[in-house]
Amino acid sequence: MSMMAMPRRNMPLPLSAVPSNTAVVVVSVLGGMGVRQRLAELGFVPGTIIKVINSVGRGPIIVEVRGSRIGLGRGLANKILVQLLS
Amino acid sequence: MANKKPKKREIVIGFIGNPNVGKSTIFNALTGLHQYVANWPGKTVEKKEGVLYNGNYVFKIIDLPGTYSLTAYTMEELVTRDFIILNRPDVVVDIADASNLERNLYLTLQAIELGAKNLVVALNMIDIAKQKGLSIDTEKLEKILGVPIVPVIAIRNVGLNELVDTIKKVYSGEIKPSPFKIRYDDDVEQIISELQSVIESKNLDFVKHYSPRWLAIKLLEEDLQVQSLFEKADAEEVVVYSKKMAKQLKEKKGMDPFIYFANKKYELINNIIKEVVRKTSVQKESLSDKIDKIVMHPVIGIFVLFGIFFVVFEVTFTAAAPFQDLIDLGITMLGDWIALQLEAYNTPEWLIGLVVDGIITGVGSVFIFFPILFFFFISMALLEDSGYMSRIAVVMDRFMSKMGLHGKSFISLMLGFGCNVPAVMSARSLRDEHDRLLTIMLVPFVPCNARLGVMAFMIGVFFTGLQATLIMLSFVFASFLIIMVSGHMIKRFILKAPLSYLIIELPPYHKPNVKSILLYAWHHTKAFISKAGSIILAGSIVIWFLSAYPFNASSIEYTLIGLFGLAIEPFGRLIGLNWREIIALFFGFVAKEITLSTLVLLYADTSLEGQSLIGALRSALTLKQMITFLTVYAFYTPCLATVATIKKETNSYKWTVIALIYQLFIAVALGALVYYVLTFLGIH
Repeated sequence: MSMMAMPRRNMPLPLSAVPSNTAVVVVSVLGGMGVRQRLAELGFVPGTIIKVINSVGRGPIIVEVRGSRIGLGRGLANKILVQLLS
Repeated sequence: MANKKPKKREIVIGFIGNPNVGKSTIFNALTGLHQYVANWPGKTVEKKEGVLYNGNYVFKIIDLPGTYSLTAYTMEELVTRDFIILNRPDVVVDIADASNLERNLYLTLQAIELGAKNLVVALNMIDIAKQKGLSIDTEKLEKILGVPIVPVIAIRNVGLNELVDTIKKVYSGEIKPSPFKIRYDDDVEQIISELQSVIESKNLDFVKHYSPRWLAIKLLEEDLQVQSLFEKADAEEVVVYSKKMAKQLKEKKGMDPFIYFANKKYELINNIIKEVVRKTSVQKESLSDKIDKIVMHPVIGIFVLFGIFFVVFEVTFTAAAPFQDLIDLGITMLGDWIALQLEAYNTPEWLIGLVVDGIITGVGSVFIFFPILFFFFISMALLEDSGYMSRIAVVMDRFMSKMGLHGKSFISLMLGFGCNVPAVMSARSLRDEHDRLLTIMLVPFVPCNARLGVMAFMIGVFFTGLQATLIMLSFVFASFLIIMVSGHMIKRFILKAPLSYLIIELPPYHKPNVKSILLYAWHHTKAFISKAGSIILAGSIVIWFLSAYPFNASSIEYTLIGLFGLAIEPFGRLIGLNWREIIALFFGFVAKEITLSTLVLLYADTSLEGQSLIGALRSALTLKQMITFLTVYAFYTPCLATVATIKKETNSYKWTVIALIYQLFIAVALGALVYYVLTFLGIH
């Protein structure tokens, strides 16, 4: 099946909108240089696969990235654009 | 020349590593009680130094702050990177978590790129890696990286002798690390070498401390600190040129250079991992995940947190209380005994006053904090070491971020109800400079045990039962309100801080190490006594002098402090305070509980014969006076020990003074507000 057949899978969406227990791939990171640099050094660079461990309500979300658990404020998670992995 | 001892050789060693990799455990195992805790000059970052005597060698180990990276983004990273570059330790030991090589090797690669001299990698927690089903070919890893690798299990003292041996061999040149070169794409390499030759052609003095290639890469990443190095050396043209090159790189690769370099390093790491790590089994849901399901549940998590907080509070304050009483008793007895001895030798009264009321009381008020701080540090180390501390940040973030605060600030504010000193100290667990300062400035608005005690007593003079409770609660509620409003105000107008976001690693839970925890508590308590102690002692002597001079004064109104109180009484009157209350507040600066006894003492002449304490205050104060006084008392400057701690923790007189002025301002403004509202309502 070609990728074009599933346009919804390819739509970038903010990390904050991803439900728990879902694996996604980072497309891009928005925001100022400082925030992006901080995220980059923790491994949030385009192409990185991350798994959303826990995302409930309006609180922070917990993800697994490059072997460790990271807690991210929801505002920050809004700035990380990802694609769902099938 | 006979009997000449062979001179011991000193090896300076820098420990680097990510947070939560057991770096401190190794540091503690090697140096034990030979440690020294201070701050980095001019920084709020903790500096830990320790010594290990081994044969003819003296290992001077500097435990650098845990970092993920060596950019200039946080103070911790800057301290670490500057130390490696400018202090040139003989050996740099990078402590890496074997169970999470992907993340940990990132720092290793950065250290290699930085040109760290004599790098040794200590691969810690190989047992946990095994449990996770990972088998690591350390020899192969050693070959690829070109630096010696020592597998260790720090909590069980496994591999530490080998680590010490390797450090010695690297120092003596028996082992020569030859770190591999991190290569980027050809077109990027071309840009790097072009920029590098421009840097080298300038013959700048500072460049000789650095690897020119690293400087070139950092300039391409638009690292602000490296840029300023060039600007300070009058070589702005290099920065301008590098920005042009960075733009070129960005166009070629379609991403920011710093993202490109991070990306490439991670690609490299993944290739290395493919070579050296074998997955022998796949792990199911880990125990940490199971615990997190409960502990980080949005509702249950809060209950767990309050439960744990209650235990911390109980342990800190209940366990410390008998020791405190004992020290208090000891100091009082010592003071009485010395006074008696001095009197026997016809010592002038002022000198007895200086020794007993100034020095011994001062020393006493330093040591009275010893038990509370020791138990507090044990609690903090337990929370931190077990991995729970970072969970608190996540659980409380929803609420605390509304106040402009970090989730971890919650612990500091709650501890404040016990004692402001450890509460201010606990702010050091916040990694962001702004969050730390903000928390430190807000803690004193939380009424501590002593303040609450005085307030409860004075409210009890006028009210009983439910009424008293409600008034007490409204003071506590007001303190929350002040913290909320001040949080936003200070952040926006005083700190001018950018919006900060929560970003925190949640390490797997592990059993805390008893030795580490006791050492942590011991060294930190000692550091407080020696650092804040001198300020407290000096302050205590000054206050004694103000209240005792001139020595022939017949009563306190004629001493310096009395004259001061009378002098500013006209201003105090504006918010309804008389000179007696002003002086009582002033003495509250020494310790909050002294306010009450001072007030009683000062009103003694107005009280009638045979009246009780409560009766004396009741007849001397009007309701309006009392409420106004309590409002100022509840929120004004914290005690001397807290102020000394603020100075120690912020490492800045400027911020200490700003914090004091802000607190005084809020207290006076609220006092005035209450006074005029009560006047308006016709309450006397």
